[in-house]
Amino acid sequence: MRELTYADALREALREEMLRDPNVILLGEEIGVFNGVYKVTRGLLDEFGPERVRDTPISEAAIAGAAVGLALAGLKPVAEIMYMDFLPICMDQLATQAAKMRFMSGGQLKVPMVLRTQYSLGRQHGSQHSQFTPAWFLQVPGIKIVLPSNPYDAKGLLKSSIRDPNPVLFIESGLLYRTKGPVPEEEYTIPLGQAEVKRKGEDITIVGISRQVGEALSAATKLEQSGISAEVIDVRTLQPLDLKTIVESVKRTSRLVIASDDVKTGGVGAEISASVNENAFGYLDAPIARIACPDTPIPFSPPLEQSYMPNADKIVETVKTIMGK
Amino acid sequence: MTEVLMPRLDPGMQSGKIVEWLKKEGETVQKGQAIVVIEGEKTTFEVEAPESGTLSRILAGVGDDIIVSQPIAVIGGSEGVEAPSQQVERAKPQPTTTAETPIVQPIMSGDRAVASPAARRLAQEAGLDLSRIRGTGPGGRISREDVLAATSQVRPPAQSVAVASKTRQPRVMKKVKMEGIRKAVAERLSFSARNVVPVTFTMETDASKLVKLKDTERVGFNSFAVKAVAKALERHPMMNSSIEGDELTTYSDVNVCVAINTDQGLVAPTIVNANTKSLREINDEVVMLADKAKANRLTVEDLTGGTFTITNLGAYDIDSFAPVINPPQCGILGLGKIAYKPYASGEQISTRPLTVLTLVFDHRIIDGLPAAKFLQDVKRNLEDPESLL
Repeated sequence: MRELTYADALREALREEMLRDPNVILLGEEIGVFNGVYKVTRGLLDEFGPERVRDTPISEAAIAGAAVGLALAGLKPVAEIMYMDFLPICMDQLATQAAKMRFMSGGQLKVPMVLRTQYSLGRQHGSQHSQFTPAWFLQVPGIKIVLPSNPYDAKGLLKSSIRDPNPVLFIESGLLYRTKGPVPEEEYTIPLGQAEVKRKGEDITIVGISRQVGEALSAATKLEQSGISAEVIDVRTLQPLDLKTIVESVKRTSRLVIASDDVKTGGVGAEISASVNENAFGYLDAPIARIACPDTPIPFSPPLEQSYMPNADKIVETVKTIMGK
Repeated sequence: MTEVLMPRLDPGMQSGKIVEWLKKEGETVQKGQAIVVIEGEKTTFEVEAPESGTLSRILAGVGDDIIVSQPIAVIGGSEGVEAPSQQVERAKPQPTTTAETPIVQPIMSGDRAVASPAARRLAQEAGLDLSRIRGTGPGGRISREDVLAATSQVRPPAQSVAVASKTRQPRVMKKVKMEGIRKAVAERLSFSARNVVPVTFTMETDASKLVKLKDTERVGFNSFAVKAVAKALERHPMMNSSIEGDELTTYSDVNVCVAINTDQGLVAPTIVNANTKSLREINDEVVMLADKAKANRLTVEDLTGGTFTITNLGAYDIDSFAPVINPPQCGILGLGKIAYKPYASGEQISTRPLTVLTLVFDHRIIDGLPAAKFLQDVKRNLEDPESLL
């Protein structure tokens, strides 16, 4: 199978959906003439014209607000927010407007928008341009949260997100844009709300979120050398969360660690941990552990940032600790 | 300040369970005064205060199973000396495998066992007591594997294609944990059944004289039997032996145990040196031990040191029976009822009170012929009971 980068897989998804549905339009900062900061929208302005690929002023509130309005008016906007750190500026439009319209109108209104964004942890972008904060949106029912961990998923999940009739927060990992992976040429989509077991194992379940899926897979390889068989699950979407796949796995392995790039306190790991407790308590043979970032702003200094970030070694260490090995 | 330690009342005792504290913390106790009731493997006994003073600290609660020689209480001076912080080591079962397992931290008395939810669920399903399972997880936590090892069961294989049909389960009236005497009896008998090579001999015995003498002398049948057996054991020391590993021990003491049924279960207190005691002395002792047994007041000393056992179910219309050897002893004599039966003497048939002696012996220790001779001696002694007076 041919290999594409994560960024190119995303670009293919956008292009195919724009070809498929004339209502799909793009808007965001630098996505047109500049081809996108991460080149995800490269060539799309030339192909689809300025009507469907709109460069916007530097105003995240306007981008998000315009997307909500366009969606309500019947289009399928895919808005890009350059850094996840800027989502607080869009928060009112997302949390108060996009997430509530369908519910408050009794289904008469719908907001079929996608808000693409990325987090740059690990790229030395400093405290204000590196955060990964999906848990903020776990408190906003009405918004789907999608986090592809590889090129194949990036394409399949983005296509499903665009076709979804609800607002979708589509979170990309800046560190993954240049990574390559197999992406078939033929059409495919991946349903939202379906986790994937990336590797089968018997002794422990490692749930990875976004970039941490890759780290979890590296950790599993290292653990195998220590005689520990780890199962790795990619959640793919946090809202809806495929709890069934996780719980079934934990019932078999009886141990769970959750690896994600957000801050540990109040993070997605806490939510998954609590849900597994509620559904598989009697099967747990060890405390559920979270591998996440410390509760501090992200340091700019490259060595400090490296030590701040979760990685495969930290996962291995945590697994061994809870297993008493 | 003096510590009260869990006593070891026989060599096999590993731990004792606190049944009742007779004194409270802070109370004054006199040396020699009973302060706590302990249930050992074979009986319940009282532990006395080793010193006079204030019972300043109780370290083990009712129901706790405490390893021998571990402190269970502290008696301070009259000033009430501050007791040191103590950790009491509870009894834990010996690991059944030889696999190296880390030593668990001693658990403070009263603490709940540290176990994972999965271990708790499995233990509950298997009806296991977590406090008896050794934890090998981090910090001594009992893990799923520890419980599985304890049940010595591997996970059942995946169900095959055919789904098992629904099984019928009888309704449960009650479930009781095996402990105390019941547990000791079960363990001893299982050991016996696994290790002993039992052979059974029966011999019909004329009890005519015995029946008369029993009434005139006011001595119980069991006492005659003890004396008859003790005399025979003197002549057949191999029957007065025990086996342990590849070592045979023959005893110069002839200590005959008499099995007694109590509400708590079967016990077999010992008549020490029965061969040197008179029939009357034996009878007094049998009566005294039976009373003690019924009051649940037998000491461990009463219950240990036996070299042969007699058991009698004649009062319950049992004709004859082959009892299980009480290990490590070599033999046991089962007595059935004495009843008038046809008795042939030459061509004459009359009725006489007869009984059947059943000897079960461990063929590893003694062969058939010497065992037969031993039983013959017992029979002769009982048929000529005046010789026992």
